[in-house]
Amino acid sequence: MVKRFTLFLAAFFFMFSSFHQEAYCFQDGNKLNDQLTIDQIVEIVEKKHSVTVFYQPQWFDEITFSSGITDLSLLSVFETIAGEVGLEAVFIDEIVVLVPTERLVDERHVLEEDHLIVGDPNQYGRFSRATITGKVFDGATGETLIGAVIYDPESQTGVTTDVDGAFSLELPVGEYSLRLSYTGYEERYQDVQLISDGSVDFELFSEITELDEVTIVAMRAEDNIMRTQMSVVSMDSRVLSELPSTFGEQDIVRSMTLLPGVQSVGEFGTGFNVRGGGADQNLILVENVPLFNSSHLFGFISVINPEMVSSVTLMKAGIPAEYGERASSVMDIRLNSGLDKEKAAVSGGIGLINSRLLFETPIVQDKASFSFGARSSYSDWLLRQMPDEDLMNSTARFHDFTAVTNVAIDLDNYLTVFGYYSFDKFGFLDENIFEYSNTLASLRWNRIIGKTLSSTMIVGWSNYKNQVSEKPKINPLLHSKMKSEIDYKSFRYHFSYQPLHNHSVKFGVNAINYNIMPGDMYPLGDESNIERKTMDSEQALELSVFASDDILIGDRMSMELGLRYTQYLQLGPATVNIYEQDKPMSEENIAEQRSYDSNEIVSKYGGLEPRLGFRYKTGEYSSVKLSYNRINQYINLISNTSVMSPTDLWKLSDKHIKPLRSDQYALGYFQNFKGNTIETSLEVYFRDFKNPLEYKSGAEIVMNEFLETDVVNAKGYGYGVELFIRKNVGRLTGWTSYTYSSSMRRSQEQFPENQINKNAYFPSNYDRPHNLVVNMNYDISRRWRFGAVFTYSTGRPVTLPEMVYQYGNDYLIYYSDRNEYRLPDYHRLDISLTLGENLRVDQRGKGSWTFSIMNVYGRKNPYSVFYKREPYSVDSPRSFNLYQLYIIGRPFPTITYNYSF
Amino acid sequence: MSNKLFFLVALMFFLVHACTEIYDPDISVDKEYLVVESVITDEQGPHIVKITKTNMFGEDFSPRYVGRAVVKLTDTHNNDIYLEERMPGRYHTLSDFSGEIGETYTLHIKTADGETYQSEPQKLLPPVSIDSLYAEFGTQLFFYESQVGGDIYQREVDGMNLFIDVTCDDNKYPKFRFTSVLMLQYTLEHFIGGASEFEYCWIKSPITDFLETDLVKDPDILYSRRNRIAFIPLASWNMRYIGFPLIEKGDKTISYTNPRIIKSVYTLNDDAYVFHYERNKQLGDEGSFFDPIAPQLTGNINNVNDPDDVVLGFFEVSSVSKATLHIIPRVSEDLIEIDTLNCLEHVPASGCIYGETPGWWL
Repeated sequence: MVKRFTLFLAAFFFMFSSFHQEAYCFQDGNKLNDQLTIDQIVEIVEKKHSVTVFYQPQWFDEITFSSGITDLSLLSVFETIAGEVGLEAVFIDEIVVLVPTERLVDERHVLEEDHLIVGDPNQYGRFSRATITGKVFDGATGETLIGAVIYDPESQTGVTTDVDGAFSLELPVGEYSLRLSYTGYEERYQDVQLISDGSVDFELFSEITELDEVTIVAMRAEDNIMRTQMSVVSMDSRVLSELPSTFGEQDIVRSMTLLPGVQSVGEFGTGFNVRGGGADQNLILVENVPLFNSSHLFGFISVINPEMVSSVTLMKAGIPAEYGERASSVMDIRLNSGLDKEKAAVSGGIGLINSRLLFETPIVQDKASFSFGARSSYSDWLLRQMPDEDLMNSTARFHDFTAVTNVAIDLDNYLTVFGYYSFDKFGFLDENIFEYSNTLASLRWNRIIGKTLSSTMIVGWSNYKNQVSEKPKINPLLHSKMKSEIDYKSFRYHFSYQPLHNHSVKFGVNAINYNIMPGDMYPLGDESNIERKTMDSEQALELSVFASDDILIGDRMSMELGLRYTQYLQLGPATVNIYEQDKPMSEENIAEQRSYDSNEIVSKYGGLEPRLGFRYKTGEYSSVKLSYNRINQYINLISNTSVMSPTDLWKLSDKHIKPLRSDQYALGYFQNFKGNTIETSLEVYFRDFKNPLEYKSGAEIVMNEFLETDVVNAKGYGYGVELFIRKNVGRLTGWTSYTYSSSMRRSQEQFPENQINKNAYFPSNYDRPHNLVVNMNYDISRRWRFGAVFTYSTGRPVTLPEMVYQYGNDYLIYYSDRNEYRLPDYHRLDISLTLGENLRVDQRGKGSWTFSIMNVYGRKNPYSVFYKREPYSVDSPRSFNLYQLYIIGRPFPTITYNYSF
Repeated sequence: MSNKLFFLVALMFFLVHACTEIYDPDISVDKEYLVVESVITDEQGPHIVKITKTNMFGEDFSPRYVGRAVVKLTDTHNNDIYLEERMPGRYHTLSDFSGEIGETYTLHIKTADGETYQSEPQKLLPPVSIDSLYAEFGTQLFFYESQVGGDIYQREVDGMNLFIDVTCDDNKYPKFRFTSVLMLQYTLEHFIGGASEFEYCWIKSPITDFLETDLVKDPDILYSRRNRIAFIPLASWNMRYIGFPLIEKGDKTISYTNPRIIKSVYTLNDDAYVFHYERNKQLGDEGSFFDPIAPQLTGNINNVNDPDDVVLGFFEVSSVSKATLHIIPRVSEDLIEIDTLNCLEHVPASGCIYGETPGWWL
């Protein structure tokens, strides 16, 4: 009975999401008249009886009550009030909810009869086992929930939903009370009578913190303990909303760097590094389409509009066979579908740097919806207001637009159309202007083919362009512009099949077409001496097939076996330099140049990519997991700087630049405490890299038609230990992670001029052995929330000048070995204070404020070190000095206003 | 505070957050390396080999010459050409020694501590052929610091751009480096006993374009249609922007006249080209976050006793061609004439002759 009542309340609150919760505040002692409005009555009663009352004010339009009513007992007050307008009062602890009597009765009726029959009743007794398929949705938003658990406690059999929110559960026919749970959502039980194979969708509702802030129950046991896959973090929109804010808004990509094994190079710089891999080794998928540059303003802000995101899943190891392309991780970002929206809604935020907007509306109720998000900075406008000519002539702006349309054709067919565009422009003094843009689009068709078979077909397109204008005032002869572009088209057809109750099979095909324009440089202005030069374009096909099976073996074990085969074909037209053997690759040692016609195969690579995951449940709240995966990567970001920048160039594997191959072995122990409210995990991993890109010192990457001569044949390895503790429930939530890791590289070159550190191992640019993150949120009250994030990591490896010598009139530098030194350790504390939405609904909508301070104690974390040749002077005879550049060297406050209506 | 003002203040705050300051890392290096600087050309000697040792980065720089070494060149005929230490660490060939085009030379050094060093053999290539040298009027922007307050100002200066064209054989650009020295002359008038007497003065200074050193000109690298080798301001007053002092007498500023360029072109073999190319890249880099990975200069000299020992510098063997050019701007005709003059290399870097015009005076 209690369970049913709780269930009822959860459903109830979301059904009446427009309920009004009166804020607990008196302004001036409120002078009572003989006749009081409902608001006045509630104010008095809330104060007098320490309760919170939920109701809709319009039910009491033009109705007033005698002031004497407040002298009655609590029960009598609400019996009187509610009875007056046909309502009923429901009391739960310190909560009072007024409900229309007929709705309450209806709901109870529904709940009492909430017994689902799955399958065809005419086939009763015909089958011994049957499969339930379907999806789990957020009942309030209509978003699919990834990693939601459907569990039968009796047989201890359960499944979790996949990235599409879909599940397939095979059970013996019979009656069940399935437990449905998901982090931060109200757990519920659903009675099911299983007759034969059938499809049913479930809804879960977010935990209503207004009801009882300390009883959010996070049933993650089945998720982090039972899931076969390890090293995976999934976050839904609710968890995302609690992530630390950057410049007043949640930053999806930057937040990932707070997780164990994920790091960034600092406040600035594009992308992130996972377990010792380069930033280009992360496959960032937005609605199944890869994003080639994830940062606005050179890395300050992610290009993903957080308002649009419904879930993010980051996979660091044990990557399922359906994913490939990049060697280190997969970050799968899903956007709001809005299918269950009953009416149009607008939300957004206004910050110091930019503002954002989200508009969602149903097109046809429950059939089609449309969501549109936009962000734009106004830093450009602000710069023009500056009383400084240099700043006025500078530019720094970005904007992005996201649109998603979802169509439920019928119960078995869903279509999703997605489009995205982002643009950045950044320049100082109008001399060096960087511009780059991402354009993404996809069409996804989810289809339930049969009782145990479903499919997803995706057609995707991603395009990334960047251009740099060099207009040094000092020398118009050098005015030029350089453009480059990558174009990516993909087709995926994936199937999900559950032949037996303990087998979950996935298989499918992928085809990717790459087209890269590495560079087109041309003069700007009549005076320019720059000669136009266009690099040959590159094109390739990457084809793959995969199959995997997630197998349940008894109560304790599960195993995921996967195999992926990729075939990479570099296609003409192309000209390939063939170098003399037994000589270092250099322009001088070109023996011949071979030309290839259009679509002729220039080079091809391929190979099997085994995937293995294993889980053994050691106890009710603990499990051991291990995984292995191999991934081949055929596309690289060519960057000879330690920091990934938007001007870096993408390059396909070719005859000389071999594909990167990564093998990763991981082992983990997962243990939850206190009814799964505290999660802990300890993971160790080892990675082996074959053909990671390394560069000769002083390598030229821009417009270099002999790029292979500046690239060094290399290999590498990495290992690490990651400790993670997370508290999901209560007023204090958050996590702490500590990682010890190593990431090493070495060149494998015969000729000394090509060797790095004489072929000895050296730390990669991403080697930061110690990394500690403490991230906490504390709910001070219903509306006030305090957040703090502390990060510490070992300084980044750098190559520093060691000696100086004179040659002619110049002073030259002798550098240390590659990455021999380290920058000082990095640490920073950010805090924020959020005043949440007033829960009262009125015509002006809702708003919340976030005040945050980055780098509270003003740590000057060096981002980069460089040397300068100093002018000679009597006071300063030194000809050189080393300088450190820090990005945020002082406390940096921001304020953001978020709104919705 | 209005919203607008608030945003402006906030953005200002944001903009000034990024900053730089001197960084003093703990660089502990307990080693020092030999540095060899030598250029052997086809010109008459003496040619000099300079041997020094490295200084620690961050310390005050002072040359640390390595003396009492035995230095010699050998050619393909096993001829030994010994060099004489005339000043500490500076070893000279005989004056009558000149490199032979097509010959290959090797440098040998034996230092007082018993270590033996040897260069890789270097071939002396024939001089590159310069097709033409010409000039066009143009402007260049210069930045200068105010004497008061230290503010930085900019000035667009009218002047002449000098260009050089070279011949390409076998579709490969010849590899060369060059030095350009601008020579200016001026006259000081003295009144002695009611009569005017003149002092004829000159000043020479290396002028460079983009870097502080000689440029290795390779059109393919700079993507240039033409190669600019220098910019010379038209007005005497603006010569200060390219490093020439302002000469004043009383309240009168003395004008420079008759600019002459003394140009030396060194034809480089592949090894020398790579060395100078890397050297220029290092000089252009500052190791900041968008700069490439720092170029480590590798030379062509090895320690025979210890192959792992690092020897810096380079043994360069180049042919050289020199010319002195008189630049004559005719602004009204939109024309710049260039005359070839006799060599002025022997003329000291600066000086004055009282009452008598030097033979090369224009």
